[in-house]
Amino acid sequence: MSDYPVMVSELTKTFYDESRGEIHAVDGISFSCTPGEIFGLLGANGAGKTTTLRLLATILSPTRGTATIMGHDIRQEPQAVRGCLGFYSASTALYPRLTARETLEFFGKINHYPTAQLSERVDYLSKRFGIEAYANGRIDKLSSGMKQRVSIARTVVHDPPVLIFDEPTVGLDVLSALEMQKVLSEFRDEGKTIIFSTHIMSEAERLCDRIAIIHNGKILACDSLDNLRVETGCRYLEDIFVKFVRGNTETVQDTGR
Amino acid sequence: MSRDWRDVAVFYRYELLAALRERSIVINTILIPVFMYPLLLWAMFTTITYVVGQTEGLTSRIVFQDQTGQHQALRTLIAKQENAEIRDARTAIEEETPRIRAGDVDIALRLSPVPPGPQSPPGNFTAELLFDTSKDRSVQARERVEEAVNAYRLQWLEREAARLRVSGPEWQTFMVQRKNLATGRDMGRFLLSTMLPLFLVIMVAVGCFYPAVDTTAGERERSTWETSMSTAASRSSILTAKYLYVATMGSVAGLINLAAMVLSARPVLAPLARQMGEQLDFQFPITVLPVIAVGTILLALFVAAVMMLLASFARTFREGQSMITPFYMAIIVPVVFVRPEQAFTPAIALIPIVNVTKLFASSVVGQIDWVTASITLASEMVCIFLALRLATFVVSFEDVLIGSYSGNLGRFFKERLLKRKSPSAPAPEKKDE
Repeated sequence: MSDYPVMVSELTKTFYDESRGEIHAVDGISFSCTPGEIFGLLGANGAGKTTTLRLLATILSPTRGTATIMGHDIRQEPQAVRGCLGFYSASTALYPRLTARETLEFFGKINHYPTAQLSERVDYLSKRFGIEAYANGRIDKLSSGMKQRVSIARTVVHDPPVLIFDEPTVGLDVLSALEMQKVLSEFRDEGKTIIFSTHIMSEAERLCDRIAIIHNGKILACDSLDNLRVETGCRYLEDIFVKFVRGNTETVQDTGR
Repeated sequence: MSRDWRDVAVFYRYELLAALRERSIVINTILIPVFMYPLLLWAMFTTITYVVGQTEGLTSRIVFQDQTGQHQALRTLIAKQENAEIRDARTAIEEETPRIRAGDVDIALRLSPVPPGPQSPPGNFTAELLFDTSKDRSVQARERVEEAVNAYRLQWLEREAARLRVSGPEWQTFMVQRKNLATGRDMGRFLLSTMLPLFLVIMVAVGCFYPAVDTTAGERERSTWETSMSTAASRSSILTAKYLYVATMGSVAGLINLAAMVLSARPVLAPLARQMGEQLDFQFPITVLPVIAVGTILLALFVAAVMMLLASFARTFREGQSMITPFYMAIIVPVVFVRPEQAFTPAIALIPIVNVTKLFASSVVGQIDWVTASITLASEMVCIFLALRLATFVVSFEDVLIGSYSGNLGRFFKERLLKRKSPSAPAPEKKDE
C-alpha cells in the first residue's frame, strides 16, 4: 500500500444528457491526500465536487481513470473501499424509523466493525457527540441538530481511516456549522484523512490543509493556502478562487476564438 | 455479483424492524389480512340477510281482476298470505300499468276465460301478471302471487282430473324431483374455493405493494438510498435483503389472511349462511395447508420481484405507486375471472398467477392433482428466476441503481435495448458488487 491513504489518478466521469449530449462532470482529475490532513475541494455549484466525492465513495463508477482508498481500487474493490471510509453528505440521510442507537449499531454491523466491541463503541460515540439523552428516540422525532450529531457518529462508527464530507455545513445554522468544523478538526487530530467539499471560502480557509480549486470538472489549482497566496499574489481565498476560475474561463474563451 | 449473507441478514433484520414501526405497512400487511376479509364477508352476509329480511317484511299491494267470475277462491288464497294487501280492479287492468311503474301498486293479476275447444277443457282460464322487475317490491309480490296461483292451479288440475276420473300419475306424464347431492361441507368448500384464492392473491399483492415502494422509491425520497449504497455491503447483498424483506411481507400478509379466513369462516360465515337457509360447513382438509402455504410464498416471491423491478425506476413514493399499480391490477383481473368450473389443466398450470389461483381452489376442495401442482410450482419458480434476472440486469445500469434515471421500465427497454443507447452502461469493473 502506498503512503497516501487517498490517491486519485485521471479520474473522469461522463454523463449523457439528451439535450446537452455528453457532460464531463469530472474531467481527468488527480490528487492525493496524506494521513491527518483535511483536503478541501473548493468549487462553485456544479463544478464537480459532489461527483468526485461520489466516485471516491463508489456510489458512482468512473468512466476513466481510477482512485485508491487505503490501497483499495475503487473500480476493483468497491466494497473494501466503502469499508474503510465514512461518507457524509446531504444525500445520505438517516433511516427515520430506527432509533439513534439502532442506527449506530446498524452501521457498525454493516460496515463490519468487530461485533464484540460494537456496543462499547456505540456508547463511546453517544457520549462523545452528546447523543446519550436521546439514544433511544426515533430519528424522525429528533431535531435537525440532533440528527446531524447522529449522522456524524454513524459516519465514523466503524472507525474508518478516511472520511468524506460533502458540503457538511449546507443548511446548518452558524452554531451547528461551527460545531461541525470543530468535529472535523478533531478527526484530523486523530490522524484521519478528510476530504471535504465546500463552496464557502471561510470554511475552506479555516479548516483545510490543502485546497483543490475545482471548476468545470477540472482541478485548476491544488496546494496549501499559503502557497496559493504566493502563486496568485492574493491575500484572500475568495480572490484566489476568482483569479483561477476567471483565468480558466478566459483561457477557454481565448482558445475558442 | 458477490453476496455476503451476513450483510443480507443485517440489512433484512433492520428493514423488518423499520417496517414494523411504519403504520401503513403494519395496516396493509397485518391488520387488513387479519380483519378486513373476515369482516368484509361478515358485513356482506349480514347486509344480504338484512336486505332479504326487509324485502320479505314488505306488504305486497296486489290488484285483482277476475273476468271469469269463478275464481274467488284464488283471491281468498292470495289474501290469506302474510303481508298481502289485495283490492279489486274497477277498470281495465292495463290502467294499473303507470301505477305499477310508479311503485304505487306492486302487481296486477287478471284472470280471463279461454273459449272452450278441443285443446281447452271447459272452465279453462288465463292468469296474466303485470309487474316491474326493476323494483324489489314488485318482484317480491310476483313471487307471492305466483306461489298462490301455482297452488291454486294444482288444486284445479287435481279437481278436474278427479272429475274426469284420471289418476294423478296419468295426467302428470312425468314428475320432477330435485335432490342436491352436495353436502354442507361440499358447498362450504365450493364457496371457499371461489373466495379464498381471490383474497389470497389480493392479500399477497397488497402485502408486497407498500414495502416494495417504500424500500425503493421511498428510500430515494427520504434520501436514505444512497446511505445504504455507501455502506460496506455489496449492492447485491443490499438488494437481496430488500427483495427478501418485500417477499416476506407479502408471504406474511397471505399466510395471515389464510389463517384468518380458515379460523373465521366457520364461526362467522356458517351461522349467517344458516340464516339464509343454507347449511354450510367451511371446513377443509388441513393436509392441504402446506401446499397453499408453499403456493403463497412462491407467489409472494414472484410478486415481490416484479414490484421491486418496476419500483426501482421510481424516485418518489407517488411515482413508485403509479408504476406498480398496473401490475397490481394485472394480477387481480385474471383471478377475478377464473371460474371454479374451469378445469385445472397442465396448460393452465403454466400461466403465472392463474395457476396459483387454481392450485389454491383445487386444494381447498381437496382435489390436488400432483402433476398440475408440480407444474404450477415449477412455473412459478421459473417466473421468479426470470423476474430476478431481469431485475439484476436493470439495476446493473448505474443510473437506474442510484435513482437518477428518469423513466419507467418500458422507456428503459425502448432506450437501452431497442435503440442501443447506453449513456451509463453497467460497470463491469465492479467485480465484487
